[in-house]
Amino acid sequence: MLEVSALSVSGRLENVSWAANGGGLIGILGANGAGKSTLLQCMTGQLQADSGNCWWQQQPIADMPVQARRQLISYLPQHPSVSAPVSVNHVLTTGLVNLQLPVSLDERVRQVAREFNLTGLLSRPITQLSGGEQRRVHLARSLSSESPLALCDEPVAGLDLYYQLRVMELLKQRSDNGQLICIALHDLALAARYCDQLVLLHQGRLLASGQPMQVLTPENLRRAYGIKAQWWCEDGGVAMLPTLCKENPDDEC
Amino acid sequence: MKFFITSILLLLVAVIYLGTGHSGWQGWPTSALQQDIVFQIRLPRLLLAMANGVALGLAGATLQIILRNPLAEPGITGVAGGAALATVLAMYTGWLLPVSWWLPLVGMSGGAVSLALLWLIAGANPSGTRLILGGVAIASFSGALIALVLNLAPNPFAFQEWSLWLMGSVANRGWSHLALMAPCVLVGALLLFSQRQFITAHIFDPATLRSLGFNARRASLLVLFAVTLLVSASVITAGVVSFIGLLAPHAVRLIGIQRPYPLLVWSAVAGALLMAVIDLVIRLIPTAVELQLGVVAAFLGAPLLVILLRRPYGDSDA
Repeated sequence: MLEVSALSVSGRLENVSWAANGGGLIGILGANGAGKSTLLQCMTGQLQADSGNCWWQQQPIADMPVQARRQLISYLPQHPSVSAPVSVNHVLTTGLVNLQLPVSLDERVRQVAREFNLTGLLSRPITQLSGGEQRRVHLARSLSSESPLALCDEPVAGLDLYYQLRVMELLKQRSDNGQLICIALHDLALAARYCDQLVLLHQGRLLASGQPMQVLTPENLRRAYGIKAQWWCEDGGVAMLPTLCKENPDDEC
Repeated sequence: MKFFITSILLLLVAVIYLGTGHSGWQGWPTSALQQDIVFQIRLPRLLLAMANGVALGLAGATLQIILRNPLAEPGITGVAGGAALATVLAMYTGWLLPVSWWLPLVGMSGGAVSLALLWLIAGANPSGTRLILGGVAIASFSGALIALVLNLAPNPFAFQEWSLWLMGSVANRGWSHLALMAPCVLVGALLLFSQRQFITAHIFDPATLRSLGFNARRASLLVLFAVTLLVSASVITAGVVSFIGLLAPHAVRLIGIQRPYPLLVWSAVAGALLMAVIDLVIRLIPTAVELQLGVVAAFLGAPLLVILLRRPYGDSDA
């Protein structure tokens, strides 16, 4: 369905290849500067790779017409923002532009507002909301289209613990319903608990990909993050206690 | 309510504008001479001032939205400077007849050359900062060349005439000027209307905007072309009038209109109202030489902007 083949972007990504097998929730992991956001940008078709390609059903995403890409992909960038004090309702409505929806625009906005617990905030100016509330609005905006492929750069950054779990549950639920969702993440416990597949990047190269426990090995964590991790699994939850194994993350362990 | 109040205000200003002046009578014209004064002098001048206000208000609001910068105004893109330079050069070389189709063509060519230069400087995917800095460079260069042309003016009368023209005015204009201006405003406004969804989506950051399915290069070019058309038409018919393009959108925001499309529409209305009021003040001030529009616009506009900014910015209009 989704395949990344030999993708290289000068100084940021080097020969990265992996494939998403079927639908699911895919976590893209890696330390700061590992290339997570660059990989997502290439997958949106916004960033032209120096070589290699991202394919959706054997078709290069970058070569798709703009409208086809719009119907296929929804995208949450790492630092989304709204430059005017317009209402949350207006942000969500404007975010659905250029889409063919099965329901009316108002109905879709109401649905997504309910889903992200934003109904009470619809008439408020987005600039008057807290950082976490704004983040939820942006996430709701990006996922409102229900496109087959959703790419979210750090969807739980800035959210409190309740909404981190709630957003991950929601993403999991959507992916179980057939949507393919790729998220860049820093929380390894959330990644281990919710993601069906992980892609671990290190200095622009693919370090590992596969099921969470195949990827989050002590050796991979040492190389990618310079940490040792202790794991606890109980009642469907996963917890992790990280400790530093080196002073400088760039040093070899 | 806003529509009702604005309509009343526009009507009131129009009635005062048409009914007052230095001709020794007030109110409804009764004689043929008075009717000529109203319909051949005051009415076209009022409509031209309003059309200029619409053009500058629309251009200013559009630039502030698409550049995501509240300081943007028509002068900042260099388009006004380019149009003014082309017109001054045409005056210098003597190509320019008082009113002919040369007039808009020359001015618009200058504006279009500035736009093309801006496009080259800003690159294929222009960011707001690049566009603004590129525009500032072009505006400064045009300003220097205009100063050079003034410096080389063949006589003091030409120097004074061109200097006054550059300060902006709608005095001594007739229906022929309005016939030049109106189609440009109409086409510019229609182009902006056709791209209203693209303009509205500029509330989002560039990365989000790029993901919303617009043909961004084509849409940006159309929007910038519309702004060029509006600003060039204004420069051609009224000279360089600063401040209206900056003031009109801010006045509209301060009454609580924040969404891009209503902001565009109401900035056009606010621009028309501001220009009509400013020109009315110019006409009523008893000076030996009539003051220039650009001078009074800045003189009244700057304190008005400061007063407006002291009030809290309006909330969302949902």
